[in-house]
Amino acid sequence: MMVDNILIDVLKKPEIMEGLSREQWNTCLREAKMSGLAGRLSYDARDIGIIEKLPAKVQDIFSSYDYNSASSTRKIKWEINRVKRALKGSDEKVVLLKGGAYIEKGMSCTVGRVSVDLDILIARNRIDWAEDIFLKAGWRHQVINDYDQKFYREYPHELPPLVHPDRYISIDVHHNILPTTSKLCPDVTKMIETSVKMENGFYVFSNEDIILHSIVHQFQDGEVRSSLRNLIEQHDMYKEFGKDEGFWQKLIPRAIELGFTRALYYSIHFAKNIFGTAIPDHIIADIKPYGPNIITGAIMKFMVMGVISPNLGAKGIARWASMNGLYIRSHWLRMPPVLLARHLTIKFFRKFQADD
Amino acid sequence: MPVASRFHNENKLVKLNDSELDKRLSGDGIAMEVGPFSVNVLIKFKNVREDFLKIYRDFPFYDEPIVLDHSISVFGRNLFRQYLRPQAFVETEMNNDTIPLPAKIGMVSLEMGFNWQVAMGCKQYLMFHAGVVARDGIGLIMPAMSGSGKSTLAAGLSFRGWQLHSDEFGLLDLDAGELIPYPRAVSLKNQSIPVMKEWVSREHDNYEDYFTPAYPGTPKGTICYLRPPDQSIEEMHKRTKPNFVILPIFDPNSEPKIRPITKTMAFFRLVASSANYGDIGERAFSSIAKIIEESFVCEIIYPSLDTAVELVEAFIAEHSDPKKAGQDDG
Repeated sequence: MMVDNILIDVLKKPEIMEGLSREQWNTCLREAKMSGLAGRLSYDARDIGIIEKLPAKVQDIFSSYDYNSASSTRKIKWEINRVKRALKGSDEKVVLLKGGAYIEKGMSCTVGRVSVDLDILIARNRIDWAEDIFLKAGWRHQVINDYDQKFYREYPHELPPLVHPDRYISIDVHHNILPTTSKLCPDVTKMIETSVKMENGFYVFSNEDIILHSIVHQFQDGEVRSSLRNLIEQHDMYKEFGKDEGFWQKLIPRAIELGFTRALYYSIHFAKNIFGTAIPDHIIADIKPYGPNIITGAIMKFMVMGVISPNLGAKGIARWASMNGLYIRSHWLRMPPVLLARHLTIKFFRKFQADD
Repeated sequence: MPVASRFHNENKLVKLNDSELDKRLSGDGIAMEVGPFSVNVLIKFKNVREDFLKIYRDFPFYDEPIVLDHSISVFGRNLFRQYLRPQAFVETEMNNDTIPLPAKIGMVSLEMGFNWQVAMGCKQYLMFHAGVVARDGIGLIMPAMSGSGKSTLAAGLSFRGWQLHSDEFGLLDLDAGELIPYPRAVSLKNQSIPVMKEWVSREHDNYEDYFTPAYPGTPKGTICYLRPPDQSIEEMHKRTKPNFVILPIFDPNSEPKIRPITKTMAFFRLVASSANYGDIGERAFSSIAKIIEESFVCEIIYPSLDTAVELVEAFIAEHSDPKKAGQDDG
């Protein structure tokens, strides 16, 4: 797959930052900002010791993003601490998801990363209990619209987001990693069972489940806007987890068990082709049968390349088609047709209500 | 890289002829310098370009490629919104969720975009929600909530010989401990519009030239923008260390008075006014502590712009030697 994109080039080979022209910097920074990756570039430049050779203006911009990611990490850690305090005295198994887990595990993909909320997972029958505890501890519902509240409660996989008025970080309390209406909704108890206890008492998924969650989030659940960031996150994880041979042995069987093989195929395919991620040959061979047919594969490639970065591939109508194609696809996978039609109709007409 | 030395004072937007300006602003945009930031500005609506130039015509632009802090574009999102029922959408390249406004008041969209970029994308400078002005080595920070009249007061002082840093974004260089001027359109709301017009007219016969048209019907009521005094734009790179912190309180029923406050109180008020204090963390704490240590502090309560300016000048005259700061605790 030919990829002609300066941001991807820089992510792959940070040393080329030294030779970028001003015009190239503007393209690169613009895309990095929009993809949530400016902090990552800054970290890379410092990591390989070239930051002081970069234009003063670039250093200046980078320092802003350094503060941003450091502050985000600090805030997430503090929020985890506050959640721990709210849950004090209970021995409920609470799993940190995504950013919270990456930070707690000190994973390499957290460098320069900004998380805006904290996601946690708890057994489905304990969800009311958890909501009650958080509300008593001062968190408030962020969504007050009746339809949204009802929708959250009846169908998807999490409580309406809760925010503590002193801290503005929203916590999403999940009981599954995908909406229960989704065709791909896994038996999450399997993931909770194999999760690992951390020093602070919270749990995190096993390494295979962490990466599968990121993958399914991107390729099935429509994280359209931050596609590139998700993909490089997976690239980092393949690199970090892949040092352990056990990870590769468990990855595909686990994807089969949870029903995420197609998503795993896409992740491996796009990571390898875009970032040149080192994936063992036997994994590539073993995941191949789970890939799409030629037509679906081509459509998917077109759509993913169209949205993966603001400037890459598709523009105008094609980009619009890619964005909306993936949005509709993600919803298609999330809920049955009748429910989907009703949901999108309500969302559409709500646009015209002045007081919403 | 010589960021500051790259522009020449003669490179003011106004030096380009009208058709050139129009072509560039509506084409790829013009890279210009606004305080410490380099910003590419692109505007697809003619009326918004006119209003924009009213405020920014004397700002320097770059003729050579420059690394940009920000890009901002104001345009209609489709042909219908560009031509038939024009609506100005602002794209800041920073995932803004701004609601498009009617193109007639597109200048408000543009200014909201600028605000968003600074509020979200500027963590390298400590930021105060405050009016900031400077004169003869005196750096004055006036932190306040929206609606306290700080914009009017900062603008009022700037048309009486002070250098306008900003009417609402005070920026501090954390390394040098200096205030960084960030002059932009002064945003005047509702009753403060006639007050400022009268104020500027006392000094300038052509005072209307400093104001954009009034934009009624914005979420904040009627808004009108005021161009900073010429001198403040000329001196955009002249930085000053802060040594006065005055908390302005507008109360139309009060007698004008200066009320002493403790340094501790001033410290917390300055912290509360800072939008990125929590993001910067420890350095923000020590920088604010240092400012307060080296500053004279007070509160002023005023019923009018005239009295506010008198109170500020009186308090500063009383403590005119900044070296004495820190000797008395309020």
